[in-house]
Amino acid sequence: MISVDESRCIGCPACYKACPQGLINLQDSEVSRIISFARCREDCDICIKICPVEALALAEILQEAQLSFVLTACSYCGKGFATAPMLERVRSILPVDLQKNASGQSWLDICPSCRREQESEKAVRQILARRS
Amino acid sequence: MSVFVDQERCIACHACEVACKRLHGGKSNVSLQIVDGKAALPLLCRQCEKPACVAACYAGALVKESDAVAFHAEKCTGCDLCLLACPFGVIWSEKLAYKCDLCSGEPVCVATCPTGALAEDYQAVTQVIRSRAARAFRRGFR
Repeated sequence: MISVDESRCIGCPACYKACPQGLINLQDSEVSRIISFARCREDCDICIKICPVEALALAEILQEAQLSFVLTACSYCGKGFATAPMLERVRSILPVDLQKNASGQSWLDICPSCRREQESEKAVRQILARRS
Repeated sequence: MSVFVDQERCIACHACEVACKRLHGGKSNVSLQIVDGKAALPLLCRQCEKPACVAACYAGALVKESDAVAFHAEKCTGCDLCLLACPFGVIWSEKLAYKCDLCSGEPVCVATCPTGALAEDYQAVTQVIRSRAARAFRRGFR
């Protein structure tokens, strides 16, 4: 029996992946993420223990909950890739000097696959310059 | 310890990816990026000196150990915060996160690379790059 503190939840997939009964569901669309908590009668607290923000707690009453998050769009390819509170958490943890790349651009708003793409494009420009 | 890449030697054969997959249950910790069919670059964990992923990991699954970033899967909660924190996008996730683990000291990608584009020995890689630059300089490059 769990309850969710909606103001704390950052929309990460930790509890969804951890629930041994599959009672927590997570669905991503292009632009949003919906996490639904089904009524849980299990005597287990795995999700509560692993939650990064302590948003889950044991509750007396059985309750269902559904949380929806807007996925932040990658500033490069435009596809939604992370919830805003997740990015905000990473932003608040990382030292400010680490949040910009060599060209002064913030890389946190770029999705991991575009980060790889940018990195390789940069390297390839150097290789091609030497080839010519 | 880290795997270093000599960009100019990579021929985009995907051998590093395949070798890595073979050793890591079908998941590759190396991503070969091919740009416009002109050149390629294998990307993998750089074992950062100040690792952003370690800072983001609240579970203690990612830790800086001597000169590498170690990943302890048994502590990972699968929250994906490390994915977002990695500036190079070289952490992936399914149920749990995964990244280059240096194959317990003998990276299989290094052993497999047919052109020697991947190496653990920083000195060896930089020596090749320096001597290549010196030859180019002698030919009147730049």
